[in-house]
Amino acid sequence: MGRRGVWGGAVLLLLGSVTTPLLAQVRQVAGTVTSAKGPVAAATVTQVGGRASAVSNDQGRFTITLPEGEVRLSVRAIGFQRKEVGIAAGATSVSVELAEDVFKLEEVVTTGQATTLEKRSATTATVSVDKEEITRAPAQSLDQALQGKVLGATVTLNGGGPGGGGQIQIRGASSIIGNSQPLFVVDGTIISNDAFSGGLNTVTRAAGTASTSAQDNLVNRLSDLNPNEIESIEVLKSAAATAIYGSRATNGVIVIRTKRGAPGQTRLNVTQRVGTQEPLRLLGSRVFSRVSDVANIPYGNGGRGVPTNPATIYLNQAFPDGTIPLSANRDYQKEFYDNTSPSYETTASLTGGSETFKYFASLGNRQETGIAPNTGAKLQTLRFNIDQTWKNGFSAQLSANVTRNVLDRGVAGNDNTCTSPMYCIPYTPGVINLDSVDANGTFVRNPFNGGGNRVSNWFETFQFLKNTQDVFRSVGSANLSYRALEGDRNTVTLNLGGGLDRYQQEAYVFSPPFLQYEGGVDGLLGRVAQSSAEGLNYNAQFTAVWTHKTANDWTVTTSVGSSLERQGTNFYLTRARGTLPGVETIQQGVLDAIQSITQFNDQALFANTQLQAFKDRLSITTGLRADRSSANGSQSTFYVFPRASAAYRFDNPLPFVSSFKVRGGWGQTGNRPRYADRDVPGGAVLIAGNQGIIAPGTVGNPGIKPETLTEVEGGVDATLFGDRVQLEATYFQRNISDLLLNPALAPTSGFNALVINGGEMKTTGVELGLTWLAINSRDLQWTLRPTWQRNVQTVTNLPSFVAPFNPSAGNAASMRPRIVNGQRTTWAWANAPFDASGQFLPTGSVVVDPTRVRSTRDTIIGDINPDFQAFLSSQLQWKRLSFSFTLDWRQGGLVYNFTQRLFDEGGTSRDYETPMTAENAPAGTSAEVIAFANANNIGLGRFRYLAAGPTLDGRVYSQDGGYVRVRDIALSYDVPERAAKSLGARTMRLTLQGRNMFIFTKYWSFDPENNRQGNQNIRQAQDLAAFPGARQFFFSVDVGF
Amino acid sequence: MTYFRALVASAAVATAACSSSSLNVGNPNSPNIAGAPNARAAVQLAVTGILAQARSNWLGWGTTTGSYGREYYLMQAQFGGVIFGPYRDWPLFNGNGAGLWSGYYTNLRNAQSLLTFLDTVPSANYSDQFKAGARGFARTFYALELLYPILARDSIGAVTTMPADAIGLAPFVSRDSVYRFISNTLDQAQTDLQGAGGTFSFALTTGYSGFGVAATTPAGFILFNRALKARVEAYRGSLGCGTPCYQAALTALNASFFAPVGIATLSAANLQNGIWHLYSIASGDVPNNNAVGQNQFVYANPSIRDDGRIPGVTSDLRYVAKIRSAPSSTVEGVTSNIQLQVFRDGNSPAPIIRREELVLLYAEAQYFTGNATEALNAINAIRTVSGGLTARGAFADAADFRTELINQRRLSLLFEGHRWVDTRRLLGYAGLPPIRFNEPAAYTVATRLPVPQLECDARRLNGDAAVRGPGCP
Repeated sequence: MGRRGVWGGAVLLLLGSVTTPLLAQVRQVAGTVTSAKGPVAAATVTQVGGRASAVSNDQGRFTITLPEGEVRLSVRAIGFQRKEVGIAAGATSVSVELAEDVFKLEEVVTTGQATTLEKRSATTATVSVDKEEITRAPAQSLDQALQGKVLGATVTLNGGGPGGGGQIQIRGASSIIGNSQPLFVVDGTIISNDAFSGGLNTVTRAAGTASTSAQDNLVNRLSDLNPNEIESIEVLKSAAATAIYGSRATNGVIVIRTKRGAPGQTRLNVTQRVGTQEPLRLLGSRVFSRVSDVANIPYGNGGRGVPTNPATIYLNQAFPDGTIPLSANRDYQKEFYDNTSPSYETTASLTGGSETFKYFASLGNRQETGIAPNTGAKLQTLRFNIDQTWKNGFSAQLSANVTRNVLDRGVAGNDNTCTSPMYCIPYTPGVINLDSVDANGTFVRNPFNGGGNRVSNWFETFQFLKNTQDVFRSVGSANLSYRALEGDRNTVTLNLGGGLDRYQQEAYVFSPPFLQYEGGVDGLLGRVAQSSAEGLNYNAQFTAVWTHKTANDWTVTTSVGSSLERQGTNFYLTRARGTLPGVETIQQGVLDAIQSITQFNDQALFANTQLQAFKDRLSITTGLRADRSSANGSQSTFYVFPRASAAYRFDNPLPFVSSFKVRGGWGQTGNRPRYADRDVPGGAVLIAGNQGIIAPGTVGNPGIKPETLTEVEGGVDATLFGDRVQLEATYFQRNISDLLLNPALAPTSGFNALVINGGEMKTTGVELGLTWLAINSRDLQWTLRPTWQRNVQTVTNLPSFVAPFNPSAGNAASMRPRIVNGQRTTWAWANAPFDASGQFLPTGSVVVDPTRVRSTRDTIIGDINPDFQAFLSSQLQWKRLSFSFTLDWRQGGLVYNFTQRLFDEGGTSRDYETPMTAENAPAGTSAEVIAFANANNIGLGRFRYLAAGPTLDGRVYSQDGGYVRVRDIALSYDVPERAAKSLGARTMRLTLQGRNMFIFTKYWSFDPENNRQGNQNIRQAQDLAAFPGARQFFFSVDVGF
Repeated sequence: MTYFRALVASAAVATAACSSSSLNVGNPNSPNIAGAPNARAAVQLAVTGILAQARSNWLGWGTTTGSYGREYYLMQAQFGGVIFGPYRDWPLFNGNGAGLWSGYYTNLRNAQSLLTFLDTVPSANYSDQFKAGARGFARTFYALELLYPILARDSIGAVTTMPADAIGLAPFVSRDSVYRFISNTLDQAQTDLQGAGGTFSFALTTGYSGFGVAATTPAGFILFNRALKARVEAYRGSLGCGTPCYQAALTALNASFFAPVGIATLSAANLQNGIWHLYSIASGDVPNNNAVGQNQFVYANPSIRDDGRIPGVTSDLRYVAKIRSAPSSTVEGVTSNIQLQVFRDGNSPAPIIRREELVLLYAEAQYFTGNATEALNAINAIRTVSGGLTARGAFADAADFRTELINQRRLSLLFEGHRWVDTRRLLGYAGLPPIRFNEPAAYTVATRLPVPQLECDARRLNGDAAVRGPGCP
């Protein structure tokens, strides 16, 4: 049976439920809904115990048909506290003033595919982020907009390049090799958050000769969403909540609702922002005063006096007397990351409609300029959201969104060709003006670090290199619901909904043959890579919901349904290396092509029941979902994920407590295997034109199944001190079993790795949140929301044959996580030297006496996970002025400072010659070692490099990544209505905004949050030559017509 | 409850809309040998796979032993560890020490899979003679690929058999047992090949026909098999077995492609005769990354010119042909201004074994079986034909012979992966200089590579000491 079956079911139910109109004495009541700020639009007015309802228009006005006699009305609007008012018999008008819902207790939380609960009754800890918080300052991407705002989540950006690119982790990692990203649901469409390389590796060779690499500064597709279109974001964390999404939900679910129309006159709102940007922080570099100092730096960057070395030739010519004046020293970072050209953002939206038809249309255009020359990101979006209700019980919601996202990000991060500026600058002493051209108009050649085509001149590179990603994406959803039955006690609603997400990322890399580095390593001049990554995802879902009110006013909501999901990607890349001058397409030279296709087809059945009793003080939610997926070894097997949670609220239990709620939940969710984990293919090889097949590197597992996360969560929510303080505290323990692992095998097996389900890990954590209405007077309101979170994750079981392994890519010379039975997943492991007796040596002992080192051994040197993370959100409103900011405090957490290591290796770190002290020495350096270094004129930077050795001591560059930072800040002024009117507008607001304003940290390099490898389940926390982060300022004007 | 029943009914209807057949999603990205149209095609794919894997493995052998043997520097700033890593005899688990292991065992798995596959194919589909030919090929490569890890690990020993499943662990066995195993496997392969009729069912690359040795038939492949046998027996001879092994080496040489030419009619051209790995810069193929035209960081360790061990070395024809001057480069405190041009570009082939080596093995085996005169003849043939040198006089003693042999091998087989092994087995590392002025003598020579950490991790928890092996701390 096809899709017709679903309709058949709907029609069946339709026939059984013919409604009869009410015949009674009625009257029309007109009313207004207002708040301290003016009229409240889109407030829902319903008769308590009855069925009459109305929605206020944009002037806050509504009319409602009510029975004669005394009735009570309930008035609710998003962002305001619900209010009940009585209407005397015969009255025909009413006015209602609503108070702001500072604690968001009126918001609804998702409890099922088509069911919700008010937050005051919520049985699990959920986070909601509203539009003011999301758009407090323009963000590079939604990831960045969410930083510091989601209690229980860690949001990190992989680098500071325009356009974003980051990852969101909720309650720690829930998988070691499986999917680690939350599920993103936008208006019912499950959208892709994939990230594809555009082929930059062709230039950087960060991963050798391959076409692509995870280190290509990937941007995940979440960046296609325009934060300005978002009304609210709900983050489901606990398995007791996320289990409604079955085997894709272990990483949490982020439910995004976009703005929708409100009844009333057509309203046009235009927001124009103009801004600029500067580096958040730069690192400086060593100042050279003598040619001999340059000549003697390691690696021969300075030429070491070899007459034929290009560096020697340059130095002798530029500084014939052997001294380098201070004025000849340059700060390449300051010269290069100096692009302050304006950034823009324009948003225009149109809303309006009637009670039965509402629309929202929005047009957005953002042009973000990067701090490096010729870099930037453009996001253009168009959205239509339409809501229609019909008198016969049908209603429909349609959403359509088209996005174009263009990125020009230059080169950043790891490389092996000295093309990434922050990789090459550390190896280039700042004694030559590279931002200049010679008599022929060619950029000055970088003579250092070997010179020639082994290095680059980044000023030249960023002038001519193209590294573009151009994404077209359409996301749409449609939901049709039918109120099949609406009685006093029973309501039955049928829902048929679905969403579609289609994107294409076209990427183009072009490196012209005349660039300095071209021809290096492989001898080929000029390279082009063109790629396409296409994604097609859809989901369709049928739900039937039956709400039953019992005689004692309990509400039982039961829903059943099924869903279909499909996600597919198709990536292909072709490239040419060794192109002819003038050719920017793939024609000549060494051509290669790669392609990879993935596809998931999933099916699910689900049933949920939810009970509200004792005047909604008790809430119980239970559910079951059964999933099967093409990714599983057994494709016809259903895996079942149950959940149950409950909350009980005490109203006014104590004089100063207005409500106190205890909640607890238990649930199981899954994480399905990765694509092709179930297959055991071979590897393809080619020799002399003949193709062959070899043993597979990773042996697939035909019995593979989803990992299972079982979570217990408990917590309390309380409203205290006359509704001035709201407190929430949550403890969770999650157990992830049947872990998807690909343990390395003994190489003598002839294989690299095997895919298995095995082992368990446990995460425990605490989340505390406080919302404090510190000042609440007529003219002045100040709300503070501090939160605090911490989690600890331990491997509790591993199959006996699984040796400890590194879950993330990365080299053994540095710090890395390891999966070891009984140990935390986030422990930082590193090589440390030990002596003949097996005792670890203090950091730097090798500098004093290399013969004391017997060998090195892997050991735990700290935790990559911070001790805790705390956020503070503040909103202050004084008359027409408002001021808000977000603060993010990360305490501890080790980061491997690879950027510093590059500077030390290149002999150009700013503290290369700084004498050592107990304060500035790397952790674990003994006084004896410090004294030795100072006595032998070994400066700090040189000491670090010698002490670390190539693979000797990973402790040296593993550094505290703690920080306190101001994520965003906004100061706005509402222009008085009269002034706005005189300018032809209805409303006007002026705002000054800043993003990424300050960072207070002892960390040496740009940003401890940068991550070399992009998305990694267990963070490797390696900061390697990332694109430096930008501080952005904006001035905005919002005008409503 | 009517409503509830209606709900259930509609859910049931919705469920029926889903069929599990749409969940059957294949994998279009990776090849599968089971999809080959017939046994002959499957064997061909496996044979080509083994050749390709061996070819890739060899590149690492050339560079790693080239570093350890003071022939080569990878003069790339980012790879400083490659420069001095080999000069510290620490049992370090690092990028340098982890090599020369996994790739070979992958190829042993490839060979083992082919052997297993051959056992399952009915003779009606693929004749017994064809099977014998494929077995002879697989076993020869099994032996050849196992030789490299034991050369790299030496006294630690190695693993010789493939575990039945992916998580199994075969025991470590001693160095001498590994050599014996290799020797026996080569003999077994010879027996297979002798029963394989006149032709193989599969094609080999032109590395097996284009270099003066026609090894594309079972009979021709025996010439290659015996050459390998001669190398293994000579190594065993120098590792304590002595005369019997050297005698076996001479026997093998007589059955190899050495025999028809001997040492009387050597020429610069026929010294290159042998079996070669092929490389290509074509898309999907593997380029010869040890070639200076492919990788400009391929520098020569200047000790070949400067250490004074071979007087007048710079006028030796082999030096002239294989070394070129280059812009001076300094990395990690070492400097060189000469490059290795043994391999010219990414398309240059590399020898698995060639006549020049066989002649030197012949000299070695003759000398240590008591025939110093024939050994001198062979050495002089190489000196004059390959080096353009004058013939030398009789050897004063065994030490004199060893010095001469190692000098000739150093130049004749430069950057072909021999020097580090040769100095170990013939001179106990004499002649390998420290890397630079400030290196304490304590870590100037790496005697062997450590067992990779992955291997040790997998074995550490095993209760059987033989499985844990001696190489894991």
